[in-house]
Amino acid sequence: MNTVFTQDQMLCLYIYELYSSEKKIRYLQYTGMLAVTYYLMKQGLFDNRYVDDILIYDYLDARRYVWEDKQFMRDINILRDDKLLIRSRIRTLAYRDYNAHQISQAGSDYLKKINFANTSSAKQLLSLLSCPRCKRLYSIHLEEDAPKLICPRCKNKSCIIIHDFLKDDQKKTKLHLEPFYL
Amino acid sequence: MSDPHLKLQNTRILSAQWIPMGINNLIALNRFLGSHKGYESGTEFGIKGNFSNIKQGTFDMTQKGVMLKPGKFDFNHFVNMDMEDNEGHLGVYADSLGHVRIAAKTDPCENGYEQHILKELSGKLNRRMVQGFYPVLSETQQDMLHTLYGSDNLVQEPFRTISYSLIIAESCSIPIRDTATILKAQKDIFAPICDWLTDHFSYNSCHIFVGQSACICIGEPDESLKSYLHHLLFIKSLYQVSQRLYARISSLSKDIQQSRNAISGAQLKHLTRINKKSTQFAAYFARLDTLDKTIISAIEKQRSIYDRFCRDHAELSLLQTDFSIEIEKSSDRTVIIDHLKNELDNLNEASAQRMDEMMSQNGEFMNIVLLVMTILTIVGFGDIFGLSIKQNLIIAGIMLPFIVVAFVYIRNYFKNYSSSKKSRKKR
Repeated sequence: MNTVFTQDQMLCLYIYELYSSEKKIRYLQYTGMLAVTYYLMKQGLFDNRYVDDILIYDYLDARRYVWEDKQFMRDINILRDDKLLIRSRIRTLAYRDYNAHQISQAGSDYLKKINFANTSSAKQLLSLLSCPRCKRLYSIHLEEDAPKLICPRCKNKSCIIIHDFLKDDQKKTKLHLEPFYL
Repeated sequence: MSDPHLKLQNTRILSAQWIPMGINNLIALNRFLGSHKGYESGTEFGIKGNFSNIKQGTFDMTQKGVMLKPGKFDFNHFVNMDMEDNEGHLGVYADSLGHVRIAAKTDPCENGYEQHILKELSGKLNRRMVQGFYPVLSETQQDMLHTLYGSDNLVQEPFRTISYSLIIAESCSIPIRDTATILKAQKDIFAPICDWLTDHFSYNSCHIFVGQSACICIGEPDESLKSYLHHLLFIKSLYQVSQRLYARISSLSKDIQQSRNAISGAQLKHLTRINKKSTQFAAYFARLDTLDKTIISAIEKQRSIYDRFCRDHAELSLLQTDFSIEIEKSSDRTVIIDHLKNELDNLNEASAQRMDEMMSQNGEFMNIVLLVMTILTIVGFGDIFGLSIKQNLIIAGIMLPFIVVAFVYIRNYFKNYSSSKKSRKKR
């Protein structure tokens, strides 16, 4: 592998390592990844390299304003192009097709090879995504009002609501506007 | 007799199917594939499993899919894509007229391949196309294909689908001067791949042998010949589908006839089964009707493209008859499908009539039972309360109309239902 990966790219890959697996045919929805990354960004994990930006994207069965930073999107594509991540599109019974990714076996092997899990940033990421009570990895839930990180064991006793991921499109506009006719 | 050791060198194998498409499905396919996004790496499609709880960030599936990477495309008309499955990379082409083909080229350094190997390879390509490409089609397309081929799971049973192959070989181990000469010397030279030949010709140092199952082109086709081969693959794969469609219509027609025969004398359990089948038939006919209309539309559009091609390449206008015949077959099929829809209506009517008959019979039987029970109950009361002879006679007088009615009912019941049972048996 000739690409030199950035710290942020490795952190993104590590998130996929925690939540997906090629061997187990486990996938992480892209919207779920956006939510988790936004949460970690707000916790200062990415040192302000990812910024607050807006995207219209699928959230559950609607198109909503959500967070996505363009640099983050580029980082994911770089990992894909180097075959460390596999992008998938999946049909569901209900609504439309969903984008999801999984770490490839090559990606898992690469993280093991560089012993990334033992770096301080990886440990910090893991601690932010683990329940403080029982240390289990949070599971990602996309609820109507906001995405949540919920401990699979402690349930609602240990739950993080990811505020502001869904941009509030009900807010009144502050600009002065006038009617226009074509 | 064909030479079993005859080899074809530097081969390209194409396996084509006709799939109900249309411009809407093709646009949806391009959107689904993300053709316009220009990703450098492929995306996984056709993953097996059930992703039903969309609120879960992480979800498990049961089997991996294939990687598809779109290449050259026109959003409204066609798409090329690289398909990577667990056996390797292949090229897939799909257009809005339903022409879909999968293709691969063999190693040019090899000495060449015998015909049976190439035939086996084209079968495998077809299998890989069904398993890799069918899952990305829309549900409507898949439903129509399931109805056409009579299978609910074509991915597990890819052998049920039908395709037409083209093998392009740079050269052959036997020198060929022209097709007529070689066929005069060895009539069945390419029978292992093509089955019987329907046409052959030589064109610009290429030799083309068009068979029932496949076509072989020896030599490097130029752009005109490639266009001709594209049209050939379209019309030949469509021919296969139209044959299959006709066979499917025939088998459904036999099914309807059998159900019709089973109605007379059928009891409730059998009638329920017949009604269920009838609902299925209605769904099948709706899909086959749509499929037929899609075929007609595709042939007509492809034909007009081919006609324009023939204006500049008269020597390659050999497929005109094939197009005309397919159009004629489509018109004929439409009449048959309409006729069968009427037969299905008759089946439903007969089934409803039989149901009415059964309900009436049951109703009348209940009435008789109630009358007889009423009479017996009143007679019983007379006995229990120890009525006098005079009182019993009064009761008998009051009961007389009931007894008369009961006899009339019983007589009519046997007249209507036992005689109709006899006449049903006679039929």
